[in-house]
Amino acid sequence: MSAKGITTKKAPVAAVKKTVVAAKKVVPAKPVAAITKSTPVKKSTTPPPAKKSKIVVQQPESESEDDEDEDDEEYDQEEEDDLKKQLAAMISAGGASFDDEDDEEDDEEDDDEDGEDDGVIDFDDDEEDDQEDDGEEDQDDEEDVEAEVDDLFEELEEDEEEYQLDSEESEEEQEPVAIPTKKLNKKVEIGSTAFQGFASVADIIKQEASKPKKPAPAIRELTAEDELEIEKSDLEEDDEEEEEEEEQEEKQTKPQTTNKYFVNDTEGLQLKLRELKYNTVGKAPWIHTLAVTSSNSLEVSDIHNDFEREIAFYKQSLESVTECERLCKENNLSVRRKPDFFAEMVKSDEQMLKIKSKLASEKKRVETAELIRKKREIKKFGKQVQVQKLQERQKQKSDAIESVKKWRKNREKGNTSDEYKIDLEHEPKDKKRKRDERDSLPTKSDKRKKKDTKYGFGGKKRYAKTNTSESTNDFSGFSVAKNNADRDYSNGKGGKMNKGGKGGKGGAKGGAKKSASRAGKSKRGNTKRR
Amino acid sequence: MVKPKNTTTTTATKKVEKKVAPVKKDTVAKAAPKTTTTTTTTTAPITNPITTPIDTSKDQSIYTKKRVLFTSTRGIGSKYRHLMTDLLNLIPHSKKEDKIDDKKTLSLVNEICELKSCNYAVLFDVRKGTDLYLWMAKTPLGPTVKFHVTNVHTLDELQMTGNCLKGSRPFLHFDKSFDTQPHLQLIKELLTQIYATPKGHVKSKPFFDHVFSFYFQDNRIWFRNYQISDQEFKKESLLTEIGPRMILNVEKIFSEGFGGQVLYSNPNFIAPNKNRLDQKLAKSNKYIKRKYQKEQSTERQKVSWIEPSEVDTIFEN
Repeated sequence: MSAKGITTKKAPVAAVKKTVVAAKKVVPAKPVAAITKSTPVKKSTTPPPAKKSKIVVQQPESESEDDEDEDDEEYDQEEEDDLKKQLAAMISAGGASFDDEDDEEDDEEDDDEDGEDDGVIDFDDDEEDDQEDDGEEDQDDEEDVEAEVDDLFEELEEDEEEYQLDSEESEEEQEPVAIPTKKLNKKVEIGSTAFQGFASVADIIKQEASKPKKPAPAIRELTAEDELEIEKSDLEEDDEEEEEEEEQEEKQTKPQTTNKYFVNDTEGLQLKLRELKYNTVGKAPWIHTLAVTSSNSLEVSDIHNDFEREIAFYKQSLESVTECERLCKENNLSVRRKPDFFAEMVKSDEQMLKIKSKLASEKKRVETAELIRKKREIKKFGKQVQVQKLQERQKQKSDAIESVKKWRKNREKGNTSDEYKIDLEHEPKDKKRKRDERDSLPTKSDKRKKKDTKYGFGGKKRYAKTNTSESTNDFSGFSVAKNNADRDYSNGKGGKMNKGGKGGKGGAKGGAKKSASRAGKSKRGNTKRR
Repeated sequence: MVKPKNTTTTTATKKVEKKVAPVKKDTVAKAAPKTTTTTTTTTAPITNPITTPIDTSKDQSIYTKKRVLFTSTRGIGSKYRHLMTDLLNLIPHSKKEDKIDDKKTLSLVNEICELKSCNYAVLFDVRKGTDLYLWMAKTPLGPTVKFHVTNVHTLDELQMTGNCLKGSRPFLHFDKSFDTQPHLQLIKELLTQIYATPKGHVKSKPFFDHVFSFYFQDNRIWFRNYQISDQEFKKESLLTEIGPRMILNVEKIFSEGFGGQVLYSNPNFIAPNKNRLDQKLAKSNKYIKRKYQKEQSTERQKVSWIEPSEVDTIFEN
């Protein structure tokens, strides 16, 4: 069964191509044939089954095809009408148009496909008919090539009749037609598994219905050995096709041996899945599995972008975690452990400590790096600020100089308009303000002032009272009268000028007095200690 | 975040493949006649497991009596050994078994499982000391999935800061795309059965503080394990990764336990051996290409020699 499947799988595509070629060759005559074909035969325009891995076989879908067939019939009739019109136009124009050609091709394709779909079921009987038909078609073609354009229309009609007859004959005929040409051979190869003639479709469908359907094989995957066996048996059954089949086999077996083929046995997988899912008790309830499938698909544009990927993963997981927790509550399961529940963890404390220390060091490293960067930035920025300030100052200065120059020039010219006046009030105002500020400071009391004058205020304390050259030469405070006030002239002439010896500055004396009262060094030390 | 070094696959040797090949054939041959039997035993009542309450009267032991056998072949490196111990730690219903000596007859694992009364098996099959193949199977009836594992990060690494209770039951999270293809569905089911700890398992604890997440991206299955913890000032919980990390690349799915027919083989899978070979070839080709180019250029130079015309030699005389 599956071996047949294999052979049929490859056929459709090739068949279609070849028929198309044939149709192209026989441009003028075909329309009629095509029309005649299309009327009696139920057509199915199901697209040729897509190529899949050779091992996998699909079940034939019968129901859907039938529905489509009905639609196609209607379509074909419309098409027919169109074709006739076009033919008439063509004849009147005296030449073949390519549109018709295309239509014919389509028709032919349809036919072939139809045959292929049903061909799996009855296989041996109708291919001869096909051969015959094809042969006649070719003959027709030859005739028509010779035929003149004027006679075309009549001929077409004749052909139509002929063709109908032929098809009737083909129903009755059961004998195989001998000696297919090379060209035909190829055709047969295509149709061998596929074609079944036009007229007997209804009967065939009945047969099909009456036949017991073969059950689909349980697991479709075939080992290499199995395949070989089936193929052999097939060959034994149909002797007529042997040669052609052999050719096909060669074509098929070669790639299998050379190429590594991939298996995707969906049916087997599904069976296995069901077997795995439902054990004797049934599917495991959620509380035993705790499995959740996300509702949203992952949206990762670049899987190699770690950050993006991990974020997507995280989000999806988080979503399902919330879902799980909700379900847990529904099922009366406690989610969080109590804070006083201590138990062994997956990672040991040692390991966690390591992780923590690593985290800390990482954090520290990052912080220091940040700090350094900041400093560097500030440095850079500070420099910039400084430069800016300097520039500003320079500019101000130059502006001021310039303005002064201008003012001077104008003054020389005698132009004293307001424009060139310098705002002289500006600076004094400033000064005034400063003074005001100073005034506003807390004032000293009179007493304090006096004391300040007496004892001095601020400044250098040292050497304040020592003599200087100026002080020694300063005689401003000296008066002769005062100086000689205590001189007693009554006692005769002469005498000592400074009898009392009370001279010099009092300060020094006082100092001396103080020092006199001071104790000796040794004694002083003792007192301090005490 | 830990960066996966390279998502491209790394490889197994020719030797090993040669060794493995006959095994496959044998198993296939054995399995072929059995298929009919396996297909017949399937149908069971389909119920929605989440909505249907558990019938307490029914015996739950079929779910709770679940054991996963963890083994490895000989020659497992330290890294993969650590990975195995991590998984053993994380999965309370697991059982460790000695290393398997004979790589050729992996079907022995079925028997070991029977002896140890395990119904699942996870086998760490290391080849060349570098390429890790992870076999996950339901024994003995199958299926078996053979993964090639790359980008492994174990719990010993310090980047992953999470931690969880030993024996707490994990939530399982699956990416949506696991439902798209039949082989992924099968894998999903197998993973849930292996990783999920049943309620009331002896070694399990009744809290949930971590989630095993499986994502399907780039034709590979990415595995992550997150800790779930409450966040301050926020309703939604915080996930921190615990580890381990790995990327599983499906190579094949077999119908039975460590044998049987091939149900699926990954067309995108490049054997690590092949990968290495390709890389080497590319390098060698580079050299050859350069040589060839040099030759070509010299030839071209020879050909492109133009005879000096008369005009050029006018003034030389």
